[in-house]
Amino acid sequence: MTETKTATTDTYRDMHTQPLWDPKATLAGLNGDKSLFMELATLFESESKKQTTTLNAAITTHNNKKIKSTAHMIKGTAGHFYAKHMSHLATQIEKAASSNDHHQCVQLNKLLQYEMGQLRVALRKIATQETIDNTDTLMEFGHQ
Amino acid sequence: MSTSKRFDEIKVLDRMPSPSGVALELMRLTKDSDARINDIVHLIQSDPALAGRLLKFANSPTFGTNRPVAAISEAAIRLGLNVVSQLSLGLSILPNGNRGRCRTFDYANFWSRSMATALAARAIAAYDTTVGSEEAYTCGLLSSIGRLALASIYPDDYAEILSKSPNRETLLSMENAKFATTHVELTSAMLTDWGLPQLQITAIAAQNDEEIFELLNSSRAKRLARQLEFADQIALLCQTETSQRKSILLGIQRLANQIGLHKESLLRLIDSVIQQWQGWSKLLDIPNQGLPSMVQVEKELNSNNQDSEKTENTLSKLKILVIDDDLLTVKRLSALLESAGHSVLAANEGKRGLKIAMEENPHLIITDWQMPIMDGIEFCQALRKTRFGRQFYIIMLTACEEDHELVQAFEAGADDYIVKPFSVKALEARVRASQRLVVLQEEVETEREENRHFTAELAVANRRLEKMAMTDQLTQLPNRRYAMLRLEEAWADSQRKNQPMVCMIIDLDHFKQINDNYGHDMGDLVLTEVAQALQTSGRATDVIGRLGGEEFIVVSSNMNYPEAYPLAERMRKAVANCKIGIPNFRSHLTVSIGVAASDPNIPSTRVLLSNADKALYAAKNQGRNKVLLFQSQIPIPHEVS
Repeated sequence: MTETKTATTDTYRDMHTQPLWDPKATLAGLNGDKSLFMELATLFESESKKQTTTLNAAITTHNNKKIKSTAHMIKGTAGHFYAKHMSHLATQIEKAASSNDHHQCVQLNKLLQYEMGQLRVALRKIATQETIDNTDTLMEFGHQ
Repeated sequence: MSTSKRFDEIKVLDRMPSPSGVALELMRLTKDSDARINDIVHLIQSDPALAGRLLKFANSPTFGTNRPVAAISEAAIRLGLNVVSQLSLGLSILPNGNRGRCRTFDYANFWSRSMATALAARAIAAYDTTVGSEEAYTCGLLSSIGRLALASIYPDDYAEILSKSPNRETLLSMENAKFATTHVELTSAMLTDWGLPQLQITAIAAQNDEEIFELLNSSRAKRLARQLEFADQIALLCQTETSQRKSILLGIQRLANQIGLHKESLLRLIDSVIQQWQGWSKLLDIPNQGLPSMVQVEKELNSNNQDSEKTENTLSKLKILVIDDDLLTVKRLSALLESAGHSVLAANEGKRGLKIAMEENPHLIITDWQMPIMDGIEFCQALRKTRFGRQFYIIMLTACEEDHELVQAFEAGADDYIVKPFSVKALEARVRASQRLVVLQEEVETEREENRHFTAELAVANRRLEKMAMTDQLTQLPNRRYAMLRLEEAWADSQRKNQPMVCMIIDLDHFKQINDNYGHDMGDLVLTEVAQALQTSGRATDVIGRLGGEEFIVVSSNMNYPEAYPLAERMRKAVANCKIGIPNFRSHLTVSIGVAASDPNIPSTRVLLSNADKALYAAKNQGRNKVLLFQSQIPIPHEVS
């Protein structure tokens, strides 16, 4: 319990010192395909909302199996954008669910929802752009 | 209407055209006082229509000879310079740059192909002597003359048929429907009319028709037919674009192997044919493409092969199935793989993935580990359980690289893994590895398929050989060897089951007289008819075979004397009622039959056969056309009334 608390606090503190996501690595992971990036950004908007709904429902119903699988999926989604905090939080929730630590699941979920919301906002801004002029523009979004 | 009748009607020979280049050269030669017969013969050899005219005349009764001439040079020597010149100048020339009346018939291509086939046939005959080189040349030159004949006689109808025939089968079928004959049949009829030897005519027909080839009894005609096919393929190679030479050259190499022609000799042979062919084309005023030497062509092909193999190894396009419940992963993987030229199928969980894998047979499957309904591990296990599923290359997407997890993935049947979030380079490297395996798998599969095909062919050949070894070739009845085997089997069976059996020996009466009076061909016909009569009058379970000469055997299981006698009588009467459909054949066919049944006192088939033989000789002695039973309790055979 103490270990998880520490991790949660650390994560929260790190959020303010590290970028929300890594646009450069994301674009490199797409072979520099900016239109594919735009598509993924749009897809994240809808998919992350579904994931949030599913995770909230699983936590409300204490369905640890569902919490684990949804957190795992969120971790994978975060990976596409190299959103390390989001990914880390999802991993922590997976672990908390494995150890039946419902309280931690609830606490971490709040942080995760915040992270996901932030990433949605960042990506939404990009998705509303008609084109991405250059990578620097993209980098600016990484530091929202 | 038969082909020969059709041919008699159309009498195409005088109306078949020759290329204008040949006509010009002939005119020059006949004006040249220094020209020799060989020069004219050389020219005639380039033109199927002229060659046909010359051979027809040389083989006509005017020059009364028993031996048909198939070599153009020999025909020319037989006729002499003046006759050859006169005949040659009577040729029909194609005006307008070798464009004939049949608008869709490619005259230039026809002459060019005929010439190349002739040259190749001559070169091949020098390696594998079935007929003389010059005779082989004639065969090659005239092997498709029926096509020129149809184009000459029915230019409009044939033009229409040619324009509507996508392949050879359709062409033959349409020719038959329109003219009541085909160019293959017409070729045979023309060659017969021109007096070519039967061997050559049969071989040309067999080269043009697989069914005729299969039915050929003469191994020499078969060999010549194969040589002509070989020559035709070389001619095709001469006329083919570089890009299509590979498959033709491979086929040619196979045919060359059949006559034991080594690769280097083959390439030299083709080179020499091409060189001569190009020389002739100038004379015929027929366009020919410049061809490099075959050694060069082969090098190019090998180099193309290596290039294409290299390309296949590195750039082979795969059908890839992506299974992941994360839409973003599916989207990303699909986009990356499709941009590399692969085709991508997607499923959002393992069960759906299984269905798609079975239906679409992808080369590569990339599956996530954790998924709803059926996860990646379960998916791998389910797929690998099936024989079909063992062939797929599976890459597992995993979030961690812990040893125990990777081991679990490999044990479930994964071939490789990619850690998420994955980089493009890692993905490309994994896909390349799978491509190499897919290429190897396909090569192995192709080899297996070839082996299966070869094994099947071998099995068919073995069955055919086995059947031949057990069949009397004249009557198609089981031969002595087979009949004796069946006699032993029936004997063992009757001993085991304590059932009676009967053996009959049947001998055709006065067969020697038939042979002496009507010849051996008639004797063979009689034996075939008798065999047919015996077979139709016997029971389905009886083994009726030919022992040799005019002697037959019948082995009947589960039968005793009272039942055997009516059967033997039925056979005797069937032969007596045989009608040989030859007008001057006046012999009445009869047989004598000796019948022996098994009983406890007969120790072996040898004694049983001996008893049947004794009964047969008694029947012969009592005036023939008789059935006699051998009864062991009464040693003297007697007729059952």
